[in-house]
Amino acid sequence: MIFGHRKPSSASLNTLIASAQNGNTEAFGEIYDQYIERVYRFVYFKVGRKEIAEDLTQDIFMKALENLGKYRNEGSFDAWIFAISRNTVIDYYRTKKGEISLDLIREPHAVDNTQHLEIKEEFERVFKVLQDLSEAEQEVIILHSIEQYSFSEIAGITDRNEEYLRVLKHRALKKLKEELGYGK
Amino acid sequence: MENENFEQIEQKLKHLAAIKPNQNWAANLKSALLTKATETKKPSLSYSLVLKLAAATAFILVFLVSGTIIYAQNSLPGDILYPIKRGYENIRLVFTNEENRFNEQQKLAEKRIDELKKVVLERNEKSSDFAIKEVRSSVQEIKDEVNVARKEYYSLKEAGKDTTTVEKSLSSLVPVLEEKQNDLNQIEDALSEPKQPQIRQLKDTLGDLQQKIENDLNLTPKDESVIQGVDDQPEETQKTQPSINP
Repeated sequence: MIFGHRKPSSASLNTLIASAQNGNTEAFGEIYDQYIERVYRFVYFKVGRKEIAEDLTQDIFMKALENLGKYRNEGSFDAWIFAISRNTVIDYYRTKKGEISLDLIREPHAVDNTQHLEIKEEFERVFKVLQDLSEAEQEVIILHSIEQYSFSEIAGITDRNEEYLRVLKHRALKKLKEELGYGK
Repeated sequence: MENENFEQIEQKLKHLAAIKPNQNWAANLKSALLTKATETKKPSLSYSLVLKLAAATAFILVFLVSGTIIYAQNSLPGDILYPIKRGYENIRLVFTNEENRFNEQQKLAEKRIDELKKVVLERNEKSSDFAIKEVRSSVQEIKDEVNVARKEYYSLKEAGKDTTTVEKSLSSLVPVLEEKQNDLNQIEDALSEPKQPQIRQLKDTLGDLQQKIENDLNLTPKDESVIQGVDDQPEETQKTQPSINP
């Protein structure tokens, strides 16, 4: 995995969470470090604008900080933080409805820290196509293909069953293939 | 063919993981979050845990200390718990008001003699050394208090004030002193020859005190009273009341 992230083991993550819940700010800092990129990307792919992605990511982590005490380790922490992320994005679209032009959403800004022209161009192409997918398809692509979560993990995050997620993924890839002009 | 294309797309999608937030922005957000976390740091979990632990520790401590003190009440000189008993008595004495201190010290002196009696009669003689020492210390304390009370008695008498309370205190001591001298007699008999002089000395001190009180309060016929030396009277009364103990 070239750009893959390192997922923390559930044991060490649980220790960090418990410590953060007991008021250890450093532990919360470590959790932040482990999730900031994934959460930011998730939001960024959904909203398509850097400033908005930053604002929403900030909101997500503020909510996570405020509600961490309520997290009871019943599901996975990823499911918990991505649930906050999804709801934050949904709220954003709900409240900003009518204020955002579709063009603005679909026009991505320059990619941060991705100075390589090839990646930049690739991103812009793929990003545009991603915007045409349904929300569910988008999520399965972001979480499975980009963030490398397993279908089982995504099932926990999105509350959808694995079979359905596989179907969604296949459907999304077909759409991407057509939009990107592969196999023509 | 379709799978090949999918693979190609998957590879491109993987590359999108290179997208990262601006490092400065991420660092600033982290800093803001940690500041907020510090400000709103819930004292509830860690602090309440500390409070709970402190309460539990205090409870255990009180339980242990009070339990030990109760258990120590039956201890005798030479026992492990005896210092606890004495420590507790000293603390009680500190918190006893002036009015009751004399009575409290009198009770403690009695207690020491009783302890000595028990040690000598029920245990081996070896453990009596410490008990004798404790009795000596208590007798000395009661002697000092009696002298203070006598001094007060003479001062009040000289000033023409009411001496009833002091007289009552001193006179109540007489039968106790008498009784304890009898106890010391028994102790003396039970001890070996070399240790007997120590008990005799204590007995003499108590007898001496008894006699002084009786003389002061005219509790004995004048012709029978032992003439006390001037040195035995409280200093201030030596000049002002030479007639009391000629």
